[in-house]
Amino acid sequence: MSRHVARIALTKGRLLEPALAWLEGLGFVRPDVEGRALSLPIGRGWEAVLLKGSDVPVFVQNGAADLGVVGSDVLEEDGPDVYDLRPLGFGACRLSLAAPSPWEAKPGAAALRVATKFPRLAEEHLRGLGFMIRIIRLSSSAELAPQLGLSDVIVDIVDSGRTLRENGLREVQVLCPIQAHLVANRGAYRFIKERWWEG
Amino acid sequence: MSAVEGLNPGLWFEETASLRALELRLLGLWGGRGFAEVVPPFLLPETDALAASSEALSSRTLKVQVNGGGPLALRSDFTAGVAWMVSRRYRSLNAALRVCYSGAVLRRPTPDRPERLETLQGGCERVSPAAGLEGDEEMLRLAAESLLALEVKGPVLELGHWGLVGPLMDRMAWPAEGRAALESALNRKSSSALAALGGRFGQSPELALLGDLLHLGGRPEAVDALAPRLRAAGVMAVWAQIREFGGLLGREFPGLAVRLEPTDVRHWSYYTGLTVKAFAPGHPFAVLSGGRYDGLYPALGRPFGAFGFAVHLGRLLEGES
Repeated sequence: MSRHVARIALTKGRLLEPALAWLEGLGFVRPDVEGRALSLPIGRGWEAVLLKGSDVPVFVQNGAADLGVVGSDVLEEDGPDVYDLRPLGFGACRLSLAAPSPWEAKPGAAALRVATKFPRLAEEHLRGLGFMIRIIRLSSSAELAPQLGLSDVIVDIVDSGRTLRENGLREVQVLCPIQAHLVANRGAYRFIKERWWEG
Repeated sequence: MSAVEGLNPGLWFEETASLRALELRLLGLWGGRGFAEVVPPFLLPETDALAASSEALSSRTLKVQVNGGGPLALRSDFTAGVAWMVSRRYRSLNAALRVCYSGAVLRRPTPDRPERLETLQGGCERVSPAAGLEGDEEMLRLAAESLLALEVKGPVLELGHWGLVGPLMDRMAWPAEGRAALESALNRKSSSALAALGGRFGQSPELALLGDLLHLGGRPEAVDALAPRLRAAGVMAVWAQIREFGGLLGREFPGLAVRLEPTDVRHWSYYTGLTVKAFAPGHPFAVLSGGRYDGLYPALGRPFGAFGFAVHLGRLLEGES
């Protein structure tokens, strides 16, 4: 599994541009991400690979990438076996409970049907608030679930709140703040010669 | 029926030959140092297995029932099996007992422990007549020799100690939930999680010191810079001890990089003293791990102390392939 090039896994989507800007600020070359290549040289003996957020910790955990940039939502939901080296100060958003208007929270009432991509976080936070819940696990488009009668509420990532509003939902409660984190493989962490991320 | 993740596909000719070569080297080394091989049982009564296992490991232990009998635990750890055998044979010891082993363990994978369901280990246990420091130096040397015997390139051996971190956590006196989250944050080197926990359970000089111990990169001089705070926290003597052990290993094994990593331990409730871990380039997880666990035998009604380590043969083979 030994490699000559060190590898950082980056999350595709909204975290990619700020991650590239952060790396550029640290002296790396900004790669062309418009092509179809998923593995891109960035200089200083490193290459970047572009992955879906939930796959970043899997690659890092198993040593296919040495470092990774991933949202704290993924880290807290999946609990991967990686080092969580530091929050990066970009990609800020929040995990929130959202519901159709009007909707009134009634802790202790009949089990609340919660559609979410984040069952572990939703359960932890909503039970902590006194709700009886039933999780409906989805992999995308949670906003549709209340409209179609699949759930009473959703727990999802909220940035501007526009997607919620466009689907007739309102943000009821922020459950936890989210931002991008730098993670490292346990073994590789020992053998990276230059700790450029500490500068 | 859904697929079970982590099933062992078996070892074919070359891998089997690699395993046997590793085992021969290790068992040869350990035998030459007075460690006699044992074969702990693959099945133990569940109550006995749980009594001899750490809490974290108990939750990963697989169980079966045979012909309507009581529940049996499948071997999830050799240390527990060795302790079960030793405690049934000896009420007291006149001298240290040295045993070694090699074989498979079965562990339920969890998101934060993504190993195979079935994995291969070899290891050594040194059981002393009483708890204490006796044998630490011998076992550290043996761990270093084992690592060199594996012939992996560029290995790093890391030392830690419960006595450097445990007393700080004890003094913080957080509730069980906070303590578990704190241990997890230390194990993940997560400064941000430590900060969040401090906000929830209370800030303290001990928490600040733990945070500063997280990212030292194993450099002794970086910890030395914290000496006044370590002294104030009453843990300087332990630091001096692991620094001395580190120096000793560095002198005796010049081909081995020796580092000090005080916070990177997964089960603080299990270890009671020195801990040891080793990594090698190209291997994503530790290839050797262990330490002093003086709490186990007293829990089984025996006054013994013990130090053991395991070489993660399955991980080494996966790394090679």
